[in-house]
Amino acid sequence: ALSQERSQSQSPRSPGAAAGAPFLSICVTDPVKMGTGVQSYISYRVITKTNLPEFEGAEKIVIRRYSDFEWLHDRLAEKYKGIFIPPLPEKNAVEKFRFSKEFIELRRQALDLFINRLASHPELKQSEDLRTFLQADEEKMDRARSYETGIFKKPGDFIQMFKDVQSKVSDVVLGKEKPVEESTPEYEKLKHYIFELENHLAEAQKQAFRLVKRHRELGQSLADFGKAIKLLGACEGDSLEKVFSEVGSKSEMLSIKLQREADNLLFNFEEPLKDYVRAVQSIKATMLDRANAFRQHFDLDQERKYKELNLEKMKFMNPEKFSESETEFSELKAASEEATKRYEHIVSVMNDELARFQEQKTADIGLAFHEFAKGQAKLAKDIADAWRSILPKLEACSSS
Amino acid sequence: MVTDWGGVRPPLVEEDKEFLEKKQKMQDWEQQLSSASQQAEALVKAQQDMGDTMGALGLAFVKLTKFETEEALYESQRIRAVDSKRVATAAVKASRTCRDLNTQTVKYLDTLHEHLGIMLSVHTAFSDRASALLTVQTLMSDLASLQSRIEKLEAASSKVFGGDRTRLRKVHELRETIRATEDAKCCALREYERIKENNKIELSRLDRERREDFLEMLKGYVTSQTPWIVASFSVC
Repeated sequence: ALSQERSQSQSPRSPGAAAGAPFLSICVTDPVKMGTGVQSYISYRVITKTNLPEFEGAEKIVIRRYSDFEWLHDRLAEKYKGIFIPPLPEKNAVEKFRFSKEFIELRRQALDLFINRLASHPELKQSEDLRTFLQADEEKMDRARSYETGIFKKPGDFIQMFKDVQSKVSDVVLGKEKPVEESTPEYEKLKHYIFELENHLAEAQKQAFRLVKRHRELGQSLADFGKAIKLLGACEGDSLEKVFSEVGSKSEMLSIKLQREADNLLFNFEEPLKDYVRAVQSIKATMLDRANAFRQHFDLDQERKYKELNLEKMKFMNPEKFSESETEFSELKAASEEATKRYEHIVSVMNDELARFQEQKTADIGLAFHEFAKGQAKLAKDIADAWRSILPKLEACSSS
Repeated sequence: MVTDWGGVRPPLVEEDKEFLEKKQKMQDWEQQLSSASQQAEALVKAQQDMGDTMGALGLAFVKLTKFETEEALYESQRIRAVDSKRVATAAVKASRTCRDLNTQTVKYLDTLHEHLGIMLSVHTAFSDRASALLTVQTLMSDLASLQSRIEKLEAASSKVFGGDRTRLRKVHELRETIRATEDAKCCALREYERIKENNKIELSRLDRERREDFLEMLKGYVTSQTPWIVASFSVC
């Protein structure tokens, strides 16, 4: 029930209210562990319901695994430069934690969120790769997946790749020492904001994760304490034993409430914060694409200007080579214009994406804060009520 | 009557059944007390950690709020900043409440540790009693063996015509020793009885105090937990 709520509030699906209104509704469900040992993985059922003509039918059910989602993500990242591709949950290869109940449910929710964000993005939802993912049979999916492995970069390699990019080939062509970066005051501000935001969010998420742990620990110690107090009371006998037993029982009851709040915090507070961090990392990946596009545009532009000058000279000094060079030059000019267009496209798309991101994130995080406050308020009230309810019994005992 | 040298009547067992039952109960109690004391320590630590982490969370949100306010590029940031400020304030407040509450918990659950300490002196009292009893028993067995030596000597001496001077002198010495031992035994017995009486009074006093202390502890602990409601996050 909780996950459904979350899906519905967090992932905007196209409304299918009016009959005939276009809708695309996707559901990632039913995680099942497959295989054994190191080779084991989780498979999910992906159910698509739609009335869009581009799709093969009204309803389609396919079985997909994490690497299939990864494939889709990487294809979109390659083809839709400038767009902040919705993030995937982490791969998390640590064996111990891989198949805990919580991990599986968190991952399922995150994948469901991912696919639904794709379905509600005006451009991404038209992607052919998305349709393949949602409809292809397992064989076709396997083939597509193995064909494309290992080519695409991950946001995590950001820093290293930035360095790689900076030492690229253009320096040789232009004889320049220092690589050039796009630098306007607005973009600088934006870059700084995004980098700093990630740090702050990561810290908040870290503390939120710890808070979940603390709730579990307090719950456990209350349960142990309750049990010990009851046993102590049993030694005492008569009226005092009853009192001990009450305190012990209340402790055990509150322990359960704490465990429940820990779960609530994990799913409705810590995970949204993590999602926020992932979203910011996706923006950084786009910034890397933008930097690369800028580099290409700039380098080709410089090269073109250089060649243009030389071409003029060549007309008079080396007429035989001129026509060959002229052909080369027009090719270069075309490539340069192409690179410039690509770069400018990314810039314009990014602006729209940023506005979308801000709006979406404000709503998401506002909800997370609300859930946090609600959960904590309820817990505090439950604790106070529980203890207050047995005070009369304690009072009665002391006066007897 | 036993005839072997040094053989004595079977030792005086602690016959006070009431005392034995009490002792067993105290041992059971102490075991549970020790366990409860440990759990109480773990509970205090868990509460402290909760307060610390809540505080750290509050601080992280304070910093985030400041950042979103200062580096605002979009209007939506100001909205988020208002939200995160509220969470930050509530978290910091909750952290403080948790810490205060924990101080109270420590104060009240300390009773458990205190009574563990008291049990040590109970053990001392019990071992005093045991050694007093041992003294009495030893003296009684000494007396018994002295008596049997006298009887042997007298029997042997009566077989000799006119009496055995050496033996009779020995008997006289032994009778002196018996008298002294009798005195010692009386003292030891008195001491033992005194300790027994003390034990009884102290144990009943301890029972009363224990009931009072623990009731006080439970009341105090429960009452101190109720201010949680103050820390509650008002719903945003």
